[in-house]
Order: sequence, then structure tokens, then C-alpha cells
Amino acid sequence: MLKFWEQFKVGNMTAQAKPFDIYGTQLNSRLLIGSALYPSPKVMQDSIQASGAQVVTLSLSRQNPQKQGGQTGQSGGESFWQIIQSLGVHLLPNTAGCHSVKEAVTMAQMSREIFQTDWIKLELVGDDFNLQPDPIDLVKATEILLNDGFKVLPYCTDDLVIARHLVELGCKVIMPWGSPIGTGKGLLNPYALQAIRDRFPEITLIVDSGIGAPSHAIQAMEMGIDGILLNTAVAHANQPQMMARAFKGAIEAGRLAYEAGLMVERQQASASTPTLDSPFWHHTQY
Amino acid sequence: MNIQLNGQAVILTDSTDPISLQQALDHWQQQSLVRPPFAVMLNGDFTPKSTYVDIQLKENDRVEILGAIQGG
Repeated sequence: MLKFWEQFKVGNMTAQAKPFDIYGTQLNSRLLIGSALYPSPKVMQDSIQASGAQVVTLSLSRQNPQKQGGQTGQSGGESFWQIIQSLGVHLLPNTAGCHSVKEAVTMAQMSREIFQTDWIKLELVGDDFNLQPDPIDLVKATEILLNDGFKVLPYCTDDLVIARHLVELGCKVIMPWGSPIGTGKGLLNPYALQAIRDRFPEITLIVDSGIGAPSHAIQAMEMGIDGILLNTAVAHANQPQMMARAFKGAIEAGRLAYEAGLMVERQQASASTPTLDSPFWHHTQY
Repeated sequence: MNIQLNGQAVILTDSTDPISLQQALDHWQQQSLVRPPFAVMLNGDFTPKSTYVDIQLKENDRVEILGAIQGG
């Protein structure tokens, strides 16, 4: 029975040591990483390798053969597509920039044909300032894509009811934001994320967007979040490759801590060293 | 035949003979305007690879060729 001062926060007494699973594919790394915003293709390649990530996000755009460093670039350096293929990672195409159900579904279908995967990170922009997903169209597009055989990883806000709709449609993975894309603000609403975690213990939960520091990732993992998807936090670090290693360690540490079970937080101090029979021990009067 | 390729007007052929989407793509690949892997939208709709041979392009059709790029 918990003492009076122990009841205000319960430690991690029900941690699940479940493997990291994306629609039946089990992965060792709980870090998913983006391929955008790096200062160079070489830095991108080195950072992805340093992160240990087994899943990399990418997107589609109009081909421009004259563009240096692009897919069809003849700049003399390796093209983006060649580098991605050489990494031997699982590809997670996104529908970035789509503002309607039709746009997102079309982009998903093209991604499946090009990248030969039915995984799709479903992004449906609802607001051009904070880039939050349109929750209503997100649910509509998710239903269409799931029925078309896609394995949808929906990027959503931290709304519990939207998450419930996505799970009820058949999503096995949910990707709520920590904070708006690229802001680096970390987890703006841990309470809401914890609510989603607690309500759907069997769903693979990946915090996607807004992660800025390894401490944000640790916070999420200690809550029982299954994985982290990030891009800007590594790509825009002063030393991306080193930051990728930092995130790798942070996510591993956070998951270990969750499975180990955190101590119970207390209001009253409790001495670590036994005081009975210590040289200057005396009975304290309250 | 005038075609919109990735938002730019191009003259695909001076002939009036019909030309399939597959033929157009082969032609553009020879000119290094297109490189695999890619996907195609025709007039705003996704066009699966299996249909390239059967689709006949028309004047002012809008063809979008999409390829892989960096993404978060």
C-alpha cells in the first residue's frame, strides 16, 4: 500500500518489454530518421549511419535532371537515390505538402510504385503556419489507404479522440507530434501523449516532429513511447553525425529506463544511507 | 504535339501520329529528362506503370514525372 506521500506519482510498474514493431516488421532501432536538411549528401549519409536508424523517411518531387545532387543529378557526386539505396534501410515515404485527401492518396500511390513499399507516412497539412495535420481529412485518407492495402503511419496531433479513430480504422502505428515540425520545442503536451499511450498499450506509438534535444527523446521514451522520428534535430545540429550518435544513445537509454521501471517519486526526503547507529545519529522530534 | 512536362511546355513531336505515354517517356529518357525510378501523373491523376503502353497522349496533356527526394 502506498504511503501518503507516494500516491501522487506512481512509478513505472507496468512497463512492457515489447519489441519495436511496424506492421509486423520488428526493428532493433527505435529511432526513425529523416533525409532532409543536411548540409551535404555526405553528412546525410554519415548521420544516418551514426544514428543506427533502420527506417529513413523520404519524399517525392518533380524530377529535375539538371539539379545538382538531385536524384538525376550528374554533378559527379553520388545522387540522393544512390546513397539511400546503399544504406540498406527500410524506406518510409511521406506525403509532405499534401493539403487534400486526393493529393495525399495520389502521392501515396506514386510512392508505393517507386519505392516498392506499402508503408506510408501520411501527412495532410491543415495549417500552413504550424503545419499541423488536418485531423478530419487525415482520418478520411487513412481509411482510403488502409482499404487499398497500405500500411499507414499517420502523423497526427496529440488528440486522443483522433488517435482512437485511427486505431479503430485499423492503424497499428500512430505518430503524434511532440510539437510542430522543425520547432525543436520537444514535448509540449506530455499529458496528452501519456493519455494516448495509456489508452492504446498495444499500438506502436512514435512521437514524430518537434524533437530538438536528446533529453526530449528520453522524456518520451521513459513514458513508454515506442519510438522517435526526427530530422531537423540532427540535420541542423552543429555536428549532425555526433548528434545522431547522441540521439541513438538517448533513445536506447530512455527505453531501458522505461523497461527497468522508474523509482516512485516522493514528496518527502528519504535518506539513502542508513542512519540507525551512525556515529551522530539522534532521534528527530517533529 | 504540345505537352506540359513538369509544368513546362514542350513539343513532344511535330507529327500528328498518336503517341503513347510509354513512347513519350522513352523519348524523354533518351534526352535525360527522365531517369528511373519515377512515377507519373497525367492531368492530375496517378498513372500506374502498367498503363503507360495503352495511354495515348493528347494535345496539352499535363504530365508530371515524380522522383525521390529528401524528406522528413
